[in-house]
Amino acid sequence: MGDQVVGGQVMAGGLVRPFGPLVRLTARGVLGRRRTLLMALAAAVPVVVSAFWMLTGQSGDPDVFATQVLDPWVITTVLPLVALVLGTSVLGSEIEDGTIVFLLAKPVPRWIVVAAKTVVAALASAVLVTVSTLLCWVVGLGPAAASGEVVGIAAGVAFGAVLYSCIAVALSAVTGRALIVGLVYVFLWEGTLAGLLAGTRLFSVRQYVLGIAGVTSEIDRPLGGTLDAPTALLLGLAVIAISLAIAIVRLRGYEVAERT
Amino acid sequence: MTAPSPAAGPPPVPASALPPALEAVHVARWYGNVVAVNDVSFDVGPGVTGLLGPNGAGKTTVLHMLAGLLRPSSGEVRVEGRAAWHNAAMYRRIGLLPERDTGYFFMTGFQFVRLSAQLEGLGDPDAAARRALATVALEDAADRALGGYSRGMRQRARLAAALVHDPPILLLDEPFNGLDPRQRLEMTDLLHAMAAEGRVILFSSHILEEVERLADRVLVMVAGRLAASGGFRDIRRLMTDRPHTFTVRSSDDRALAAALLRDGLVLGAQLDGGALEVRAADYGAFTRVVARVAQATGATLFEIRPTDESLESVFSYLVAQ
Amino acid sequence: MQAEQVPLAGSAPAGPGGSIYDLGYQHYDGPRLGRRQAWAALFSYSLRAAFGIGRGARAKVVPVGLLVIAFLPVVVALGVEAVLGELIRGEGFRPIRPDNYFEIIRSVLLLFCAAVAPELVGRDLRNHVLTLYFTRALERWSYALAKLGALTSALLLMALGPEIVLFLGSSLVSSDPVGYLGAHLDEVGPMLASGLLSALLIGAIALAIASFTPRRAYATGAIVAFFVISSALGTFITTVGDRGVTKFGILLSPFAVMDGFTRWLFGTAPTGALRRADLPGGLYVAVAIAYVVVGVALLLRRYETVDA
Repeated sequence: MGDQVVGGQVMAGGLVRPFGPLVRLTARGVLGRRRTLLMALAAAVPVVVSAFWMLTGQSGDPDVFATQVLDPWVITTVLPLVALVLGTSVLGSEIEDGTIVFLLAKPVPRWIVVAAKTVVAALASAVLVTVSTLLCWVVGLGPAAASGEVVGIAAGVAFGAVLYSCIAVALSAVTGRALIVGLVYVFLWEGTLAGLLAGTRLFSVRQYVLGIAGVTSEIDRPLGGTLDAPTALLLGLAVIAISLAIAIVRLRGYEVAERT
Repeated sequence: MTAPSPAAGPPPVPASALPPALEAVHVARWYGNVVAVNDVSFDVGPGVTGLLGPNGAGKTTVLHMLAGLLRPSSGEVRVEGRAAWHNAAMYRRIGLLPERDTGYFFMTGFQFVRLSAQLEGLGDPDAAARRALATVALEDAADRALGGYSRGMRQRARLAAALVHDPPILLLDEPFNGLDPRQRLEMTDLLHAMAAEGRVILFSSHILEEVERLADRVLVMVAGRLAASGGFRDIRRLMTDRPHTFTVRSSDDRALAAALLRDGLVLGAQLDGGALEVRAADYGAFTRVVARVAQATGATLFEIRPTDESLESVFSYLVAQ
Repeated sequence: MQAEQVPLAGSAPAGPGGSIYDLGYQHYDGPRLGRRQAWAALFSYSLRAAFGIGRGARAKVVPVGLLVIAFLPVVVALGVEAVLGELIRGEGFRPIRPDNYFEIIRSVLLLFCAAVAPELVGRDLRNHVLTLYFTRALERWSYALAKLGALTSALLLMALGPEIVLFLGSSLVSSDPVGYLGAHLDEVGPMLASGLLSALLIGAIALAIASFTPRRAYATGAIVAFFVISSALGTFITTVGDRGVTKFGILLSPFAVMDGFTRWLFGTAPTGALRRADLPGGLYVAVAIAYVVVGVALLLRRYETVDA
């Protein structure tokens, strides 16, 4: 990278200093916008569904609730949607608007830019989906919610949010159609293909989520999970590392292009 | 140069040994089959240099390459001696004003400029931001959101963001775009003042009047090639295959015209309104002899003015090549 | 200044006060076609744009890729049947049938819409070129309907194309092609009707959603979110609810409605949540039409009021 200090300027200490302002910038750009409000709304829908579940006197068995409500609503739907939308917006909208040039024409190392944006997206989506999961649990199960199963599920969901965000950021750095590509991945790869081809299970965020959820609950096997928690964690961290690396490399070589 | 004192560092390097601030060496850039920039070489030093050319000539491409935002397909682009590509450190020395009217519309002008200062790693971003905003005369509006600015105000805010770290080199892409005439004058004055401080300013434009007023040197680009470089008057002088036109006012235009034509000093003469328009083949010969011819004819010369030394005529000549 | 006719190319007449530069502007003296042709031109342009034809390769990847994926199950099924048919075919064993086909490629249709609808309407909004359209021989509503027509046609291609291939292909791999066709001729009508209604249903809703925002990503996310969440919600309410009125919850889901009328048209029995809802088949058709009407109304209203 060759980031040497050039004399003659009043300089604050350290390269990491710009991290804070970048995080604040991204947070302001993403949160409080219509997009995030809609995502919060989407994350609230499973809670409403859980209320319905409780009010109609459905089963109080946590496993049943998890497989009937949490999986179809949160793990399969809200989690990828929210994380992909927020993840593609942190970098994608800057590239689309052209404001990314403002950030790149600065002596800030590219990895700090990527890290700051990913942190905001990952944190925001993780918070949304984890809160949604926990609320669903409490609302849907009532007194039976005291069981500790939800801890693993919530941890898995949070991990999944971080993963999807990183993948989304990497996609945004590669293509202008990051969101639709991410959705195609979720629907077709994780949805359909994973049922058909065994090999795809090694690279599937859903599998990692289920694997970690399996630590405190019994829902992973019935839902098709095939990984144990340590494997899921390791593979997930590998995906995070690879995604961030892709994003950093692409940003380093970013070239101003004609708008397509 | 004074003798170095024990506390000082090594003696300053003489200016001629320093690499030029901006340098292009046989730079080309193509997109598939389309060549945007074709074998361009130049260097730029202190003062104001204008990058002039019609739309699509490749000016913005060259500026983007100088700013490290585009990779040359061949050749080298250097800033202060080091390659511009993959050179994040150079952004401490460069201020960039891109053409696109975009920004973080939810921020106030002050926050925007301060963000620029923070990303540049300045020790006191608030003070630097205020200074920069004062330079572009935007202090009153500094606490309003960028989204509510007029286009000229946004342009100035982005200029302030480009200046906030006091860069010795400024790259401006179409800085007069969207500015009304008064704002253009202010921008011109500002850039003149900055150039007088010794900065290197390179701006691109297709507005001839602005380039003429502002630039000491001109780089003319046409269809991806560098058609000419230098002061535009000097370029004009080099265009020897075109006759020079002069406007002459004297006490007896008719007689003077006849004498000039007879002596073969001019290719053509035309009486137009109250003045005489002549086309001289040889600039030097004409200027040496015209006074004597006038004296011989008995006419008193009031005014001799070259009429086609405007940047416009230089430009249209080059574009038509 | 004398009145000048348009000079021939290459000449630049100069008068004492100024010159006319011939920049190559040409008169057009040919016939001028009317509204219908304008509409047809926009329709065909949009249809091509939906598949990225006339633009770079990157614009084609997603739509053409999804088109290929839509045909894949059919091609594979036909292949399997052709090769192994004798071995595995019990009477009437057909894993993919026209009546459950939509369930299978539902995701693909949704993704296609989510990718294409924003391209069709979002670009014009983003680049502020609507003025150019509305000052031509096009009304605001014809613009909207041309876009809807293009999207519906593209969806029809994705929905019906594989089905037709399946139908004809099945007849070819069977032992008696002509007899097969004769026996299954009654499927053609329902196939076309359900395909058309499904394409209209998804297309109208998706386009209406997409027309509200110039940002591609917003529109894509909104379309996917709407269909996925409404689908899950509708099924959930009907499956879990036990009061009489909750069985109508299934109607909240356009996908379920699609499934409902398709099965009714083919005369096959509903499964899952549809069976639990136990609603008359004609109701699904009516609700589907209602959805289409609402979608089109929203779309038209949007284009009546949008600032060009």
